[in-house]
Amino acid sequence: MLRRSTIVLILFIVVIAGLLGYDRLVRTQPPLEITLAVDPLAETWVRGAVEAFNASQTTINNGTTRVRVNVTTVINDVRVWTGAAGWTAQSHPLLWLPSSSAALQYRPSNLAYTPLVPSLAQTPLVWGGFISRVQVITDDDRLPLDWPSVNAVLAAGTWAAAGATDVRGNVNMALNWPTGSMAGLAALVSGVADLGGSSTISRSSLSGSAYEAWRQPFAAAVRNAQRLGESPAQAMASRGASVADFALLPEAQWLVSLNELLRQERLVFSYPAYQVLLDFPLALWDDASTTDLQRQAAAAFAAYLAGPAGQQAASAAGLRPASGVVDSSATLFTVAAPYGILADYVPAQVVPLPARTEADILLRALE
Amino acid sequence: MRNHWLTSFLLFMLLLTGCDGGDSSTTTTDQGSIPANAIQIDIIYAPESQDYMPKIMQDFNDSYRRGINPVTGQPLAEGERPIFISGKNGSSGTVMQGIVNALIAPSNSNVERPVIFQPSVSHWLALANSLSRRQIFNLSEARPTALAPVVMAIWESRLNAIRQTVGYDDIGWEELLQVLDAPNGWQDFGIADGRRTVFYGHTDPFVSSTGLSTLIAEFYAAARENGFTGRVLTMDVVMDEDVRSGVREIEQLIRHYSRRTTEFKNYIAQGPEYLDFVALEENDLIAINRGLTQYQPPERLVALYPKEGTFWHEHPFGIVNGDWVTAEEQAAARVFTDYVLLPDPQAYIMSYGFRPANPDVPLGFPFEEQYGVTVEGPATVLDVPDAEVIVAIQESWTFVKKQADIMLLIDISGSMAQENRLEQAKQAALAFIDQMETNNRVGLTVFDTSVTEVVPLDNLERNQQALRQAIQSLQPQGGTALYDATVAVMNNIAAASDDGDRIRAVLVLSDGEDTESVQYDLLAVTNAIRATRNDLNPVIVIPVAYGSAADTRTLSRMAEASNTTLQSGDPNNIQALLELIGSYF
Repeated sequence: MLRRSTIVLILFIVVIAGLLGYDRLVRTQPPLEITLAVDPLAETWVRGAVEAFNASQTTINNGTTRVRVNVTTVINDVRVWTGAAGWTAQSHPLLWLPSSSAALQYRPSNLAYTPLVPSLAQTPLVWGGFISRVQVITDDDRLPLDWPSVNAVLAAGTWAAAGATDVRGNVNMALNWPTGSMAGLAALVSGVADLGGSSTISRSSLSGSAYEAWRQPFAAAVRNAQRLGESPAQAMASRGASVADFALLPEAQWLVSLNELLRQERLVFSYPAYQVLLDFPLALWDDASTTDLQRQAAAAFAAYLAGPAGQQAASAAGLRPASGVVDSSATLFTVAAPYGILADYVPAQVVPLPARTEADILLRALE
Repeated sequence: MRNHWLTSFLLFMLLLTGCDGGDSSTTTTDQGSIPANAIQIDIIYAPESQDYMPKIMQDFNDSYRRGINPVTGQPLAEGERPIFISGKNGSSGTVMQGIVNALIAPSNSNVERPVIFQPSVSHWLALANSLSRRQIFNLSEARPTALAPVVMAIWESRLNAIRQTVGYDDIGWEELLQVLDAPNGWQDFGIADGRRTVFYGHTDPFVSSTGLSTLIAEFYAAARENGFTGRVLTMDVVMDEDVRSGVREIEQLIRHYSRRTTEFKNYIAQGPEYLDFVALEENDLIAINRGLTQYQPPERLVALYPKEGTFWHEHPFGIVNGDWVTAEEQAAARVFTDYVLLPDPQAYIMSYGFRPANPDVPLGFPFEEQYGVTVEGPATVLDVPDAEVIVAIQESWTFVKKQADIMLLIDISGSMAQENRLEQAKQAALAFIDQMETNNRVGLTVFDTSVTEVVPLDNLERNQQALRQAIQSLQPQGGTALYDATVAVMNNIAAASDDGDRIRAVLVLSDGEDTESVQYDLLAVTNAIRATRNDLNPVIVIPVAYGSAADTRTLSRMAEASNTTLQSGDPNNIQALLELIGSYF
């Protein structure tokens, strides 16, 4: 006859072992794998978050199914909505995290993506340039570093014609190449909005003599930017002003390359008056082929990205939270503050990306 | 009974909790083996990447064999497939054409189907798109992996002479053209015993990236001389006859061409007597100054980053959008690209003289002044013209390049009957004629006991038929008067007017065993060759040795006197031989 205390101990052990065993049983079952495509601008953040998420052994379906996210594709948004990605109803990632919700609007109708989270992070466009060039553009800080002053040096074509005495050669501006990145399209939109003095881009904004007078010197000055790779900031960090004197790039791209850029020359940052935000939505392929378990898994991953750990990973990659302000512990922002990056930046004028028709016209602007 | 049940249950649970849910995807760890279930991808990389790419691929593959993702350093996750990369090198222009052929002319003998193409410079990716009329490569997504500006590698004494003469340091094409135009050449630039002719060289723009970038830069220089003030070369400018004349004038500086920089590094390393400056990638210049070439340079070569601008050769990884590449392979290619850009591989690449594409890796050895480079590198770059304009520049080369006078000197002595030597030499000569552009001048001289000029030097367009018939009818006979024949031909060519606009060469096809010369010996031959060195166009002698018992010592001495190298007439190697010889012209 067992004593009462022994029975209690045995029952305790049985319960604990049962719980552990159940957990192991779940963990040894093949996980439900969901596939994810991500824009290169979010790649560092998302890969880190995915790694942490998978390590967390998150379960769904009342704890009976483990979820594993697999980043199967890193692809520029533009390739998706222009159809170059070749996604079909039979072959596509379950989740798509583009850099801009406009990419979702532009997508072909056969791509059954619906927004799961409207925005998981943000990054604004930022002007950045080597100080020797910025001083010429801004006439030694008498003008803001923004489209009007930039357009003047673009029209000059060479630094000598722009009045520089210590800088020589052609004026070279960089941007993410628009046919390969929403960030590039965003930069074009910012320029056109500034030209027209309006945050609405219509077809009439994209024609006429004023537009051509702006477009031609701009296209000439950014010509070499097509060959700088995915990160013009990184190219400027490795090759200095020989490849670009200044650029209009997503803030996150500047921040992750800042230390290396500063080895070349001091930088100056400034936010354009007509701001275009990249908002990083998460979209789910949602049609009859999508199972409830997949939906649950997608929701679990979305919750992780939107939660504290996912948002912290975003700020470590130079991105801002989807709402609220940058955490004061976000090192990249702190380091960049002396050069003009504002942790509490609030854009005065946000320009939405235009409709697909206008976007198509803009993509041809640099041809 | 109840105790047994409890014990069994506890044991079951403990066993369950002890289970390892990990999976294993690698079945073998043999060197060179491909992990099970691996995604296999191929890369074709630029010839200059041959120094570092095999080790980088090896390290990448080894990591996957150990079950470690080489990019993250973490064990492979559940379901994560290993990647296995294999590759080879290939000249950028040839591979580009092979990839285009795979799409539009798949039965062509030159067809390539890699997953990644790493040319030296992105020009080739743009050309592939243009020639195939498809977006084989997303230019803006091709990530640079190793950086090397194209520089003018010039002897330090020459660069200092230019600087002292013009009175400033910022030198470019403008000043190089001043040297070209100077009536007394280097003597007008303070080098008392300097040649009156400037010798310059570059590689074949159809094959070599450096050759193509240099030709584009020459068009920029010539266009600016003719009043062009725009940013980028257009078709109108490239087709302008005055601009083409300007390029032709620059090309007159050419001592001879070379197919690839691999050979050119050795040519220039012979010293200022041979060449004054050549267009090279910066890494090649570093290699010469580090003594990694066949010859030790007599003084330091320095990198001239032309003030007008140059091109960065960024060695981009172009991931192919072709029907032979799956999305999974493209994703795997991206992983390999990520790996190449990690700090350790980048530092390794830098040790071979390439600037790291990943700016996290600070510039270090060998980017030191002693190796002729500056840490800053070029201050400005030239705008890359549209692909159609680049094609027009390439195609213009036939018209702007320096033409050649070439005498074929064929040994028809009795010894050439052995091992079928004469037949092999005849085949090589006929193939050589086939591949030469017809505006070159070619002649035929043969020798046995005596020397006979069979077909005089003339435009190939006019005498091609006569040459063919003469070559086909050659029969072996008599002894070998190699020395007498070579000096006779040298004298004939040297006596002909050296108007400065043609490369002059003698192609000697022989077994090299002199038995009959009565007038000259080997010393006289080498002296005759050396005597033309200071001519506007020195006579280049390229010997080709036939037969297993060929007198290679004699033929090598002749080659050395002319700063060339003895070539083997091995019939199995005829195409490579022709390519090498043909690229001189």
